[in-house]
Amino acid sequence: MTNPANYWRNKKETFSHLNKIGTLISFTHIHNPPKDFGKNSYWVGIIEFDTGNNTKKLITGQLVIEQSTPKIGAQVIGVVRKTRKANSESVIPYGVKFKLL
Amino acid sequence: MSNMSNMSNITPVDITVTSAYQTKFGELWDKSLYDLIAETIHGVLKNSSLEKKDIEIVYFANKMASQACDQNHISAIINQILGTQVPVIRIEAACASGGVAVSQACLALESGKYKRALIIGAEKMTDLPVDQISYDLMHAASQQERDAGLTFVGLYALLAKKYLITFDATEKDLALPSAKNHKHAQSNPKAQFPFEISVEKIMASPLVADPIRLLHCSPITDGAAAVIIEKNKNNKNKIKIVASAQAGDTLALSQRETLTTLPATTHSAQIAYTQAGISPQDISFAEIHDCFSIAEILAVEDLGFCKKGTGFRAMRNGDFSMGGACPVNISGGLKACGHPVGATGVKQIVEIVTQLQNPTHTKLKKPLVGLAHNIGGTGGTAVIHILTK
Repeated sequence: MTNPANYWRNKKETFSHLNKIGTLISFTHIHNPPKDFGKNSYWVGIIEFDTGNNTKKLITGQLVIEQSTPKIGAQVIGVVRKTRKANSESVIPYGVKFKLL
Repeated sequence: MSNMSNMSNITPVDITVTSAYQTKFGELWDKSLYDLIAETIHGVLKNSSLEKKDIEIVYFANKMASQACDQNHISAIINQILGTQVPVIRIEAACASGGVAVSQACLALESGKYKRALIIGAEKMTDLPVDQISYDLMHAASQQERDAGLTFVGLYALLAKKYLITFDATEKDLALPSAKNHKHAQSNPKAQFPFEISVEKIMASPLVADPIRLLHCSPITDGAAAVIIEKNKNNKNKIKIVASAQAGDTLALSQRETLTTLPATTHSAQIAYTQAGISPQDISFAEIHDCFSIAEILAVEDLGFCKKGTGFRAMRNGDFSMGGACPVNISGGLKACGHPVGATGVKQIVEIVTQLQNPTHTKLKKPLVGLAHNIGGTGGTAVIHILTK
């Protein structure tokens, strides 16, 4: 999301899994970030959330890894973080990353 | 497997391939996109007995000319080069642009409205810095995947991680397709990297997105390819397209039914085999979309060449090497030839035509049947063509 209108339109979906707990389905460690994602490596995963009535929702998001390395099947929780570099046009791009529990 | 009675596109296909041409693939600093397209048009016509005025319709495959070359409306450039006013249709389906262009051209001929079509796939990528290219390629992924900071290497790494754990494959297995394809590419002068690279060197290359390493990844490449196809009554002993099948799936990986199969491949393969009246075991050789080595392992399973979860064992066994049951990527694939995105699907057809005309391996299964497998994004689009002589 590099422009304010796009960021505003997607706000509800962006923060829909804040404070929710899900299960890590797969993950990777990105060593070569694309433009606007800085120079340091970071982790990204696909997380599965139980939405009730035997249904699931899957989300792709960055992970917050502080000490232990992630494993498939680990529990994560949505937390607020700045997700990318802001450019001169956009609002500061806050979003949700997923922290290992 | 899908219910075939719901599918209308399972009737046989019978299209003659009249001519084929590709440029050298690589970092071609002295060639613009215009130069690549012009060279390809000149080359494919020279390889036939046709003139520019004989082309009735053109399909042009390209993914990122607007970002990389500040150029849209390339259909008019093609009219400019041909010097004619024929319709030119630009096709964009990420990395499947070429395959979809071939498929659409086949439909145009099968409709009876046109007798002869030219298909060109071209991409000029190397003028941009690598991080910009990574960013632009992610236009073929979902917004959520972009916002998560994923690259295409990262997307396929999510598939690779899931595959390794689910089927007990090792990181060394990820190196096998790359090593095989580089070995094959030694005899391909059009390839970007026509030299061997050992499994050890591949495994020692830097991690890009764990578990995918630099030498598991197809490179950034300039290049173009073209074929001319016709609808003929008398095409005995000519090279024919006998199946042309496209299928789609969700844009985002997180919305897929599974992370260890690309359903668009299995769906389009089912249609293609039905159109051709054959089974996977009848395929003599294949050009498979190895944008990353995990993609080739998934594809040999999804195409039915081996059971799900056994692709890496078949690779270890040499089943897909020259001399094996079904050589895959005799050209060197995307890994060693390079991957100019819009050109790849058309180049796969050029390679299959070349092999059918002059097989480089005498032990290929007879009758000779070649399969081209072209994927868009992480499997949002899949296109399969089957050719025979």
